[in-house]
This record gives sequence, C-alpha cells and structure tokens, in this order.
Amino acid sequence: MVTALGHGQKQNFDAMQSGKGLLRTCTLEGFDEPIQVPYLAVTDLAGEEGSATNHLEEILVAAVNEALSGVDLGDDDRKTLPLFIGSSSYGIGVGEQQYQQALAQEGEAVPLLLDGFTQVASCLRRRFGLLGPDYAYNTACTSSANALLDATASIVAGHHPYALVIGLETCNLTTLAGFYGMQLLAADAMRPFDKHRQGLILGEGCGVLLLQAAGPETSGIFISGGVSRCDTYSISASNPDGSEIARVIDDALNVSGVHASDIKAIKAHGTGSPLNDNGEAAGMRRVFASVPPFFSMKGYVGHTLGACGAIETALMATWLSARELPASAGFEHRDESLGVVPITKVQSADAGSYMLNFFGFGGNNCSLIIQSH
Amino acid sequence: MLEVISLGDYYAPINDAEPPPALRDEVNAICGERFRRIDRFIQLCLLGAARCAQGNDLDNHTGLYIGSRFAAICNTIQVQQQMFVQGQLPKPAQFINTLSNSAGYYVARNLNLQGKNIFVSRGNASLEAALQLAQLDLESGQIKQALIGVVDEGVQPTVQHCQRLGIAATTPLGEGSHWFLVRLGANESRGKLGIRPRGNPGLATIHAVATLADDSSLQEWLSHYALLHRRTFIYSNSLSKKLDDSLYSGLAAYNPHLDYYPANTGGALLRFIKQYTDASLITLSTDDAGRTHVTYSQTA
Repeated sequence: MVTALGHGQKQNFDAMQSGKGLLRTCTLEGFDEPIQVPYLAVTDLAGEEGSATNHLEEILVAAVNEALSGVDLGDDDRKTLPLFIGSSSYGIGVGEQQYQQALAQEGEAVPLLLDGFTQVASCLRRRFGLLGPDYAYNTACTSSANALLDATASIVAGHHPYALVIGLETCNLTTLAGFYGMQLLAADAMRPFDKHRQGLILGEGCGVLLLQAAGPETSGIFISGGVSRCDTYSISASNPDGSEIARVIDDALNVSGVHASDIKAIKAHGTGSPLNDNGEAAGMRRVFASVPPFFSMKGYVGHTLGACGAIETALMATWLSARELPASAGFEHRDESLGVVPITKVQSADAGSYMLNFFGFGGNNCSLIIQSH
Repeated sequence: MLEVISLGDYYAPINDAEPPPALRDEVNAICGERFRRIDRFIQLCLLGAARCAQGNDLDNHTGLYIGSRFAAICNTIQVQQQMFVQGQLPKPAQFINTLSNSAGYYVARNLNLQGKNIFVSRGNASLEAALQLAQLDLESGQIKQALIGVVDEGVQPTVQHCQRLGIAATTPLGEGSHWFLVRLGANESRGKLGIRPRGNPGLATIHAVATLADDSSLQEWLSHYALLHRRTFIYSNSLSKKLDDSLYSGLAAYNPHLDYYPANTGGALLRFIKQYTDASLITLSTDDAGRTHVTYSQTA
C-alpha cells in the first residue's frame, strides 16, 4: 500500500503507532483567488516531476508490486487474474492536466479526451500482463469496498483461484474543488467522532489486496463476507437516525453467520463530518447492546474516498497480523450526543471477528466482516 | 445463465444540427417523483430503468447494476470548462452528479430499491462487466433479480466526441439507455432452490458472458457457441474489428441499425431479443489490449 504515511505495510504501520495524523495543505490554482485546502498527498515518489500520469502509475505499481511480491503467479494466472478496482476519480487528474496544458499552449482545447475509467486497468495490463476481466467500480467512497466484496464472492463461487483488489485515489482538482465547494473540508485536523469535528481531509493513496481461497486450517486474515445496500434517504448523507446503517450492519452479520456479540472491534467509516458520525454512531448503537471498541483510520491517511475500502482493509489486516488495534487519531473530546467514544490508545487484538464499515455519497453503504486467526 | 424477463429502452441519434431530444417531460411522466437538479445521464438512466420495470413487481432487494464507458460525461465536461476556463468552483449538485453512482441513487429511489447498487465501467464492454457482476450476486443467492442497464449519453460537438472515442470524425453517433431485468436461469434456480422461478417465461436467456485474453481463446469459445443453435447471428461493436471468415463462417452478421456509441452492444442485444424468436446472438467487444468480451444469448 502507498499512502501519505509512507510506502508499504511496514512504513504505514510504524507511522500509525504514533497515534497522530498528518497535516499538509495544497493550493487550488486557477480560481479568482488561490484556495488553500488541507490535503494528505503521497510524497517521495521517483516519478517525473509534475506528471499526473507518472504519479498515478508510480503509486499504483508500487502498491501492486508489494501485493504480488512473494506470490508465484504463472503466465496463465496473470492472463486470467480478475481485477476488481475501486476509485472515485480514476484518471481524472491526468485528464485535467492534459486539458490545462492544452489550454495554456493553444488557448482552447477539448476537455476530457482521456478514457478515465480505463487508466488503472490498462496500466496493469501493460506493466504486469494482467489480462483477466476488469471491473472499474465507481460507487463513491464504497468503490473499493464493493470491489472487495465481489472479489470475495468470485473466489467463493470458484470462478477464479485468485483475485486482485485495487483501491486508488490520486490528487485532482475536480474532487478537491467539489468538496471545498460543499464546505465538507476541515480547516486543520480530522477529528472523527470528536465533539469539535468540522469535516474531513482528503488523501491520496493505493491499497492492493491479492485474495485467494483458503481452507479452515489456514491461519491469517480472512474475509468472511459482507453486504452492500442502497440507502435512498439522501444523496449526500445516510439517515442520521442510524436506521439504514444498522440495517447494512445487521445484514452483514447475518450473511457472515456472526452474532453481534462476537464482533471484537469495528473499523468505523469515521469521516469526521457531523452528519456521517451522527448516523454511524446511531447505527452502531442500534445493533450492539454494548458497542465494541471502534476507531477511524482517516485521521492518519485522510479520506481516500473510493480507495478507502482497499487501503483501510489492508491497514486493518496489517494491524490484526500484529495482534493490535490502532488508536483513533484526532479524537480528544467526547461528544455526549453521539453516545460512543472511539479508542484512543493502541489495544491488543485477539483472534476473532472484526467489522469494517464504509459509507458513501449516492446512498451506498457497505459493511464487511473479516476474521483473524 | 441469466433469464431476461423484461426490457427497457431509449435510443437516439446525435448530430450537431440540433440538441439531443429533451427528456424531462418523459422522465417526469414515468417517474413517481419529480427529481430536480439532475443531469442528462441520470435522466437517461431513470427513463430506461423505469421502462424496464413497468408492469413488473420489483422486489426491493433487486440488485441494480449500471454500466457505462463515460457515465455523466456532459456534466463533467461542463465542470472542467467552468473550473479551467472560467475559474469557477463546481456547484454542489453539479459536483455530486459527476459521481457515477448518483444515477443509481435516483433509479433506486424511483423504484424503491434498497439492495446492492453498483456502477461499473469497462470501456465498450461495460454491459459485459455489469452482466458478470449481476450473475455473481444471483448465483450466490444474494439477490433474486437484477436490473441491469448500460447507458452512454451523446456529446456535442460530435467531432470532439469522436476524438474522445478514438474513431473517425465523420462517424454517425448515437446515445442509448438499454435495460434488462434478469433472474437466474430456470435450471440453475431449480438446482439452487428446488423449485421453478415464479413469473412469466423469459424473453431470452443469456447463457454466457466472458472476457477472452486473445484470439486463440476467442476461437475456442466460438467453436463451441457458434454451433449451439441452427440460427446464430453475430454482432461486433468495434468499428475496426474485421470479422474473419474462418472464425465466423456460417454466422449471419446482425445489424441493429444503431449509430455508434459505447453502450450499443446493449442496444443490439435488446433489439435482437425483440426482433427474433428461437435464434441466438453472439456479441463481441474488442479492446486495445487484444481481448474480446463476448456474450451468447438465445431468444425464447
């Protein structure tokens, strides 16, 4: 994985041990006045300075190389390996840069000449010879969580021995300007579930997971199932009473054959926006008689939007492999109205069932259950 | 194996002499709710999906799968022009509509669907991607029905859109919203549930959807499926793909009389199902990696 925290599982895990998030900013040029926004960019890449294509490919290739290292995929496996890709923006940053450069050089230009959705899969075909069926999910912040869910189903159905899940988000002006215009960005830090939460900080990164079927005797981290549902309460927020979030959590427990009391901890969506955290806290309280320990990872890596399903699941797998749970970065002050408090210190993590929740614009809600043993 | 139980369709040719046909009145007439601040891609999805759902009692756990190469491209172009030419921030509704799954939200809301709601893209093979994902969920028993749409809107000026599509500037263009309500085929349902599925017999059965890595895989696939039915037609949505006689001998080319747009495989399949009984259609979508995405369907 590659995030603002670093490259690879170890760098990310080590950086999260501090319990503190990052704060970086970027400037949106070209508007009446330059706009300064917080942003957690990936740094220290060897790519050509300023090229959005190189930046996207460097992040993607580094994360895929890490996921495939030590795995002996033969030519036939590579030719048929299915690619389940989730992103909110795909290659739009590349298209923006081409358009801006053409405007600067020629005064007028054709916008969006790029086939943005295909950028990730075509890079993987070119760089890794992966020719299997590709699925480019675009369901906002649940994109790569939905990809993960379907990749799991594909393996369970016996269609493929392996499946590659990719969540990728790279910097682009459309997303930053859109979130800024909707007044959803925090001024400084992200504070999920905190009384003084003001909104989110966007981040870029890539999470890649290679899945394969495993028998009951195997030890490690397993995806046991999950559910994706549509909540038509509002296009930009889930029902704040938590009813729809409770429904997707309940369904995920049912399809995975896990009882609510068996959940050891929850990786919350936790965007730090007032509406999300209200609905999510209410949803957890509806399902769990006693809400298990929970935390948000977005205080560390930012909200990586469509990539957060893959990035946060990969981070969760890393932490569970170390038998620990991370502190919820950014939380300081209890919000009595939420009725729940995230964990604020690193805790030990036993073998058992863990829940990961992801919610997005367009009413897309997804809840996954993973097992650590 | 997917049994097609209902169809919903919209198609129009696009040229620069006039704006694309207005859809607002038709959308308002067919939808239970009057949606405001929606763009043309959402209108196309609402219209096609509502036509497909008409007369069918949709379970609210019906899975929703929308495939498209470009999704809300006209709105996204407008956002890009506003930002980079005029220096304006996107308006909130305009920004939210650039998210491809906004269309799925409105379709779900209109049809009271609460189940899985997926937007997927795979270039000109986005229909095939949507069919494959729907089949996965039907086979796992997660859903009993799937509403699948493949939608691409027309873009003006057409010469710029031809450049975007990588085709000759004079190619006639169209736009379409093609929808299929499907359930698992009778044999698989019997096997899984021990009973026949309820409802009317299907209009057609989609027996196979696959992505083939190279020409030898395609040849092997065709040698099986081309011989399954005495009356088999073939359709390719690729303008550059030459139908090699040795691969396709004995198969009649199917002409759905559609202008070019990425979703036109969906339009071809839908028209074939309406036009023919007891016949088969093979569709091919080739991509720049040399892969071919195929479907094989038989009409009732």
